[in-house]
Amino acid sequence: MIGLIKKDLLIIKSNLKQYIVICLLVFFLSLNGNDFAYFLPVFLSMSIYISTFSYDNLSNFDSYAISLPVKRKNIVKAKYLGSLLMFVLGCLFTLGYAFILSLFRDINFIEILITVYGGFIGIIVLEAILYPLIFKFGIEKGRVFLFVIIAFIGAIFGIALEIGDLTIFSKILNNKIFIILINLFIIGLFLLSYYIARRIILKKDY
Amino acid sequence: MRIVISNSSKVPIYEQIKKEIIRGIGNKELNEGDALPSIRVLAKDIRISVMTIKKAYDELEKEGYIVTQAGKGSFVAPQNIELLREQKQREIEKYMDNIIEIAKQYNISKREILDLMEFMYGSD
Amino acid sequence: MEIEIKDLEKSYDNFSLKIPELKIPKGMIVGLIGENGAGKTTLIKCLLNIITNYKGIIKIEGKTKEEIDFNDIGVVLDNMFYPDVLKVKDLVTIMTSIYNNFSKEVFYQYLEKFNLPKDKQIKTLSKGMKKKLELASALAHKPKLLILDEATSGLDPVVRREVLDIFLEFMQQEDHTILISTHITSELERIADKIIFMNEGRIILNEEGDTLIEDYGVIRCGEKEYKMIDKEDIIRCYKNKYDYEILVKDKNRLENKYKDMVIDKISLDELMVLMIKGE
Repeated sequence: MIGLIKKDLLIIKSNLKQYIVICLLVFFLSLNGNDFAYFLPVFLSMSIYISTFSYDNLSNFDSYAISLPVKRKNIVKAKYLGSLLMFVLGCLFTLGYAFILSLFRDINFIEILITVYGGFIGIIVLEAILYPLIFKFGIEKGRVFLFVIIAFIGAIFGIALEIGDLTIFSKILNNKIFIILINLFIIGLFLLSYYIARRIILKKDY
Repeated sequence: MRIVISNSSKVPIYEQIKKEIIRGIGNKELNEGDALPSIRVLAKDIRISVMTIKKAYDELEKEGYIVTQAGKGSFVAPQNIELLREQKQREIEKYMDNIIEIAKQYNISKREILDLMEFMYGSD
Repeated sequence: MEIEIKDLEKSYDNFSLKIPELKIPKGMIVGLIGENGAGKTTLIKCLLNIITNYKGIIKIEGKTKEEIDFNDIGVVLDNMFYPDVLKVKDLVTIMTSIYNNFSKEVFYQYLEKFNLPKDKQIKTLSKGMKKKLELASALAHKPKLLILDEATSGLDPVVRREVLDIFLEFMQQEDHTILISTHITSELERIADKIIFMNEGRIILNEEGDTLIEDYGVIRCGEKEYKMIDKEDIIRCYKNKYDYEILVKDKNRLENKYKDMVIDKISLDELMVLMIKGE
């Protein structure tokens, strides 16, 4: 299974230059005071990992992998663990870059942490919903699902902002029990997604 | 040693292998006690299936040309070279019978046959 | 490593694979031939558990599909490999972690032998070079069983000869087995210990290689002679404009029976055509 994660990392490495360019771009943009940039590395880590599904599919590696001495469940495990790894790297990158930015101007680290945490929740939920869909229906349809899910979430937030009362969020964020519950829920969702994906792959014909 | 197999010949491949080995024994390229290449190695070297070679070796053993020792391989058996030569001479006699029959049928003289033989055998 | 198949069935909308029984003993080179769509790839996918929802039992070295150790199986498949953005040398990193017995040295030896560049991405390789890389990857982890689906297609004859020699070298070990499915029957004819012939999802012929070459034959004759041949002796028959081609077995016996007729040796290609087109 580690071999498969290495494979994904090597795929990512092959596109490294592009990613670095994007990150640098984002960095320079945010020098002007655009804080949206904090979201990006974290978000990028997700889209990077999803791209490995595409590369696998192009070479039919998903079929080839079955002929390797790797259990089917570990093929799934590699993707989930690899995604987490990539997310952690994304966070480190964000923190590092925020630190560098703080040398140029004032940075509110608490705000960054909250943003990253928000990204964490968003991405974990997204991947938890998306990955089983990709495993079941393939990456082509998966991209469509990705779009739909994002649009859906966006719509919900949009509506919430319209009719909702933003003070609810501050109340939620100050309630420690609620935060713990949310974390547990997220972790549970991720694990559930892993088990579903595992079951899908165990039975799949390529 | 020389083993040459022809794909287009009507003679089955295992027979050809046999013949080549027997020839090798006959003209002293292979001597009593010499080790034959193992079946698998020979299969690789002349690019023929293992089973074909095994068939050739089995028959060679049955006919007394080679002996196989389990775990050690196949070796040229003590040959009665004289016996072999006699066998081959009898074969030649049969061919000669054919030649003479055809010659007589088509009125080709003995002189012509002998001249042809001179020409074709070349110098001794 | 031996392969045992029993009652294998897999159905699709317009195709079904049905193999009641098949045994591939170890120590053999087995050729799997047939037209495109005959079921060769389906069979191989079932063997490798790439297709896992099939009826029947497949055992490799006595182990069922959940227990098979793929460390011992080397695979070259049609159009399936590592993502081609990876570089050749990346495969070393990956395969070291995947296989128990992966040998970097052996892999590099093959790279050198095949003239494959270490630092290039797989996608920059020509079709033939990619196949050579797949072969190197399959061999570098010291398998006992090689399963090859069209492993030599796209390779020029010189390379094919090199690859053939590599297979023969692989077979020097008595417990090694090769199953190779291919269109290119010319090399298979002499070195295959067994030939399995598939058509429309069924095995229509399963013979030892030299039986096919020595025992099987073709009688080419006209209408008159055709009528003189026992129907029992005819395996397949194909009618051309001016002659009949008749596939027969047991050449020696029939040569004595039909003394005036010429029975030719048959090539695998001709065999394939007659088995499929004849009746």
